[in-house]
Amino acid sequence: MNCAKVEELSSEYITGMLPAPLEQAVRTHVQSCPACAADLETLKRVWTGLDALPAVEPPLFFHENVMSAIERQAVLPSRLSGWRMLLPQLGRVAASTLATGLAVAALGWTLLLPTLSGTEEYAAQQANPGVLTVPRTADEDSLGTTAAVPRLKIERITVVNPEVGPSYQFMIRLEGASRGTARLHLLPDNALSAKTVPVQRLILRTDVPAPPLVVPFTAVEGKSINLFASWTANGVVRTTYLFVPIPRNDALPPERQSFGLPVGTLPEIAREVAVRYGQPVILEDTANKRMLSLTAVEQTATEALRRALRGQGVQVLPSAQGIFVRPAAAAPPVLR
Amino acid sequence: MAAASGDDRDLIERSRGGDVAAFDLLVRRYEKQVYSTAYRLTGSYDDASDIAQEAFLRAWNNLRSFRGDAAFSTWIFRIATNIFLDERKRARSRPQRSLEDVMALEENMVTRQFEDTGPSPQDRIEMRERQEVLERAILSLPEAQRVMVVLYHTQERSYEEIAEIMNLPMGTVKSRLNRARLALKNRLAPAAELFPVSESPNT
Ligand SMILES: [Zn+2]
Repeated sequence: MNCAKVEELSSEYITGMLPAPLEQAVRTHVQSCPACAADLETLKRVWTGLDALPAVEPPLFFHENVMSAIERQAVLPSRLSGWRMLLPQLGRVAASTLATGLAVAALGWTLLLPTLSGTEEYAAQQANPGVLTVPRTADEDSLGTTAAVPRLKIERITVVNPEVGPSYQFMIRLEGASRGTARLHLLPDNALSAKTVPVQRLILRTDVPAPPLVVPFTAVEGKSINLFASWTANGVVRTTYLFVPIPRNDALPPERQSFGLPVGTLPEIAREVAVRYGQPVILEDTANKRMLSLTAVEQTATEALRRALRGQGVQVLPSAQGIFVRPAAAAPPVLR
Repeated sequence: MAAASGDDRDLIERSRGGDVAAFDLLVRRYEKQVYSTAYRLTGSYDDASDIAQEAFLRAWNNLRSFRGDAAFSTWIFRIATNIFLDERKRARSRPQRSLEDVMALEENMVTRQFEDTGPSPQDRIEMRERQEVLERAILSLPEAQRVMVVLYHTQERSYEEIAEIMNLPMGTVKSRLNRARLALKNRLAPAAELFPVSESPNT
């Protein structure tokens, strides 16, 4: 036995895995070789130190981010063909935070949902006040098929609780599948850039109703609640986006409610959203190899009214007392 | 070869069917091990996040190719270490940092997340110092040896499992690990007084 051989066998010697004759040979050498004895001693110390290295905690929101990434890759690519949406602040760091990731996803939905038939639904809601079903579900799964089997139903019920103030209760249930899961992201008050986004994860089962989601609201015109649900059932990942504008007194006339949801072509919707949320939106038109930047400008109430009432034969005139909406042919109002 | 535990297997089955919540449980069950491993391999919290996240993403996307006769831990460690090794292979075309650079950089990085309420302040300082010295020494090893050392010593993987993770014969794993330990021993010999005389693994 020489020093080189002892080195070669040192791990097995330390763990006692050498056959008895070899172990005896190493032991004999070490007893008469101070260099090897010292080396083995150091190796043992290092070994113990390595074993004692602590585990490191993953960063906050690590698994949330992993799951968000999984859900986004499953849901979004099919919508992004042709058009791709970029937000200016979508940097590496920003993208790693939950809030930003969701802001992107939620805004993406607002823009990329193919048909937004909001007005009909609000009309229906007027006929049946108190219960609102807005199934803004794209009936297209990640595989590109159109099997319309599982559906996520979100019902809104207005609750007036003297202790918490007015709130909406959302009842969430799955149809067409016996079980599934959903992640609910709540973006209150148009807060697409909210720093913190409450997230709820639900197991959905037809035999056990999911607990209602209670969202307090302030009845301020123009504010809204955005509910973004990524859910899976029958092996299919889907997304349901619910945009709930909060009308004053929660009972405004139908024409006022039509402010709630942008409609039109993709650039029109994008511009509307950029204006409404005060956030620049850049659309990438890959077909025409160009970028379309829609800047955010503060929208005044007058501008909002003019836009909304365009073509309806009215004029919108700001004044110190308020905004006048009058027949286009009428003479200027006489102010007292 | 460790087979997937019954509980893991159920979660994997459900994940294969698209059950995101089941996969979420798997992620939560293994995130600390995977993240720790990636951190020990790279010495960087950012790189560790990237590697660990990518590992789980790849696992989800490749659930169909996962064989039920292996443990999920083996599989996820293999994915994570492959990401690390591939990344380093790519990085090798770029100018490499010397060990001194690594050490200089690490000074600022190792101060986070090692809270330990047990020992006295003096002991804690020594422990911290010992950990930093060890971390730097690990980072000086060639990548393949580093993977083995991290898996064996910080993740308590057996020779068999490491052989499976790295797709190498067990004899190769044993001899390379021995070489890696000897390299660490030589590098750390000048700082041996930091390491307490303890019960050796061979009692
Ligand atoms: Zn000797």
